[in-house]
Amino acid sequence: MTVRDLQKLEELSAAAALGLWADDIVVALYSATQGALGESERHLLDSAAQLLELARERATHPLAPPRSARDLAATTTALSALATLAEAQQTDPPAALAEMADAIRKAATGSLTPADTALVDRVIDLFELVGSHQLVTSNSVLSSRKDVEPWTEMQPISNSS
Amino acid sequence: MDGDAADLELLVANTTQEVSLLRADRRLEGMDGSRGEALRQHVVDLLDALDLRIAAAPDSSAPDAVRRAFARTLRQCTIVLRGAHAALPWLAATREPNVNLGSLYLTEEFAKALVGDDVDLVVVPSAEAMYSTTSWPFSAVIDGTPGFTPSATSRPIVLNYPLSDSNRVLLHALFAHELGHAGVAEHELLDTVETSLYADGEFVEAFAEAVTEMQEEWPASTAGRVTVTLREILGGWLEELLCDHLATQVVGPAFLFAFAAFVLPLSYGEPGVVHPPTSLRVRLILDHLAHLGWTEHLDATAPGITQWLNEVANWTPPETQPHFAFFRNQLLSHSQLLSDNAATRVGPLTLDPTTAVDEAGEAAELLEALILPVGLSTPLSPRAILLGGWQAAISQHGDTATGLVHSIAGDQLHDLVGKAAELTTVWQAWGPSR
Repeated sequence: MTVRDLQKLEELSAAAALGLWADDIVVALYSATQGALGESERHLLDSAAQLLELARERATHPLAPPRSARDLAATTTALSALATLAEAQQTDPPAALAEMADAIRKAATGSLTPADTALVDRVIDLFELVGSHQLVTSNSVLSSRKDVEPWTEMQPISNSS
Repeated sequence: MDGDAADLELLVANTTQEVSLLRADRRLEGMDGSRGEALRQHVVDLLDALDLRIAAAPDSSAPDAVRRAFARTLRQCTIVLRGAHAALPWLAATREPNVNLGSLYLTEEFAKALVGDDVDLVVVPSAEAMYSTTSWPFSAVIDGTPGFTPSATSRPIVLNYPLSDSNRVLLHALFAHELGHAGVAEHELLDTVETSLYADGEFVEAFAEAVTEMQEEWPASTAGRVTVTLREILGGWLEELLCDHLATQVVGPAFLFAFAAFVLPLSYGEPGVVHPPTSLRVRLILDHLAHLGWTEHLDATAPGITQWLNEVANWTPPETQPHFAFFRNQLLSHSQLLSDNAATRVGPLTLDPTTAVDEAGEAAELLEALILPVGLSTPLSPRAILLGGWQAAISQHGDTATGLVHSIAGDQLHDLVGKAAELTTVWQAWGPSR
């Protein structure tokens, strides 16, 4: 009624699911580089590309809300992770997101070339960071703590507005 | 090192053992009846999905990134497994129900109206003195497991209530709000409302203004971050208000009385991150009751309480927090969206004042004479009995805030309401007309 403590389990499940998904992407990208991509992995990569495209949309137009709460959570985490990487790599976030989404699409269709190796490694770094962030989040939900800034210390993305 | 051979050995051993321990728990054994079976199957689905993940260990030639990903996967599995232990006492509770049986039948009627027929209700007391709910608690993890198809098809819903309220049947109108959350999820009502809202040009313009205003309040934040924060708060408020509307649609004034008696002692006009101010909720519940045609009944049976609640509803918060003012103004001007969605969802199962008022009046008269209010000529509907219970309680304890509080104390009247709801449900299910 006023405290939805039971919904903590749903929160836990959602946080874990996003982390599991990010780590599944890491494995699927590796499979793609080995030319051993399965059908379910292909779907995963499609969903990863879609997420980065949504995140790019939000980075470009911050007032355009995503369609669902899940998209909102996932793009927020992806944008934060990317901001951390972008700060380290001095790249432009929307451009980097578009480039990464393209690389994932190529991985999903089996059309990666040796020239894409460095970019795929950056995509793997991004999803590893999302997976690490979600592990901290899940632990916080489980122990009912709300760590304001997890140790991964992501920075908010700067945008074009 | 994270993800090295020793780390993965530890993690595989640990998660395998955790899954085995849960599988071996006697509370996860098959049920005698159907109650709790969907929840049990949901937990089994979780264990099967996690088994699939444990079996996907990378070989020793996999690169570090893949091994680290697998290590994180198993740690996430462990966290979810620890959360899954919470479901075991709920399964045990289905074998020894604690809540009043009439109340359980009433709740099943609410669930049918709000969620649908294919529902498995588990109603359990909570250590915390609160009402709350969860439904498909592990579906995000189960559905996100590549290559896994779950077996559970009925929606498992767990309802928590304060142990002290086991026999306070009049308060159990609040279950309708909790079941509203399952209804919102099952029928994607929040998405429907948000889609309409964000398609409204005036709302979008006001939202953009609120973001600009809030950026001045929070100079360290970006427009993107402010947008996310406002949207998350608004989403939470909309869901709560939708649940209030759904409960009002199904239970009528009984929800208003139960809500006021339980929530007003906790909060008045303070805005929360998840919950709107109570005063705003009272405003919208009263408006929705008026929309449904209950005003005359409220004025006739509880004019004092109705006047007091209208004063609560008309309270305006000081304009110290502009984003809350934005939410309040927008929600008040778009309340029709909430009313319409509640009406569409509940449809013919709405508690209709044109029939329920007479039935509730008959129940109230019988209760005042301490007669079991099952109906003199035909069985009364359980929801009308609940409303009649409130009428009789207010008549007995007084049409005031104090009378409202004393109405929920839990006494003979609650027992009679619960027993009558139980008997009329059985009558309707097994009576001579069948």
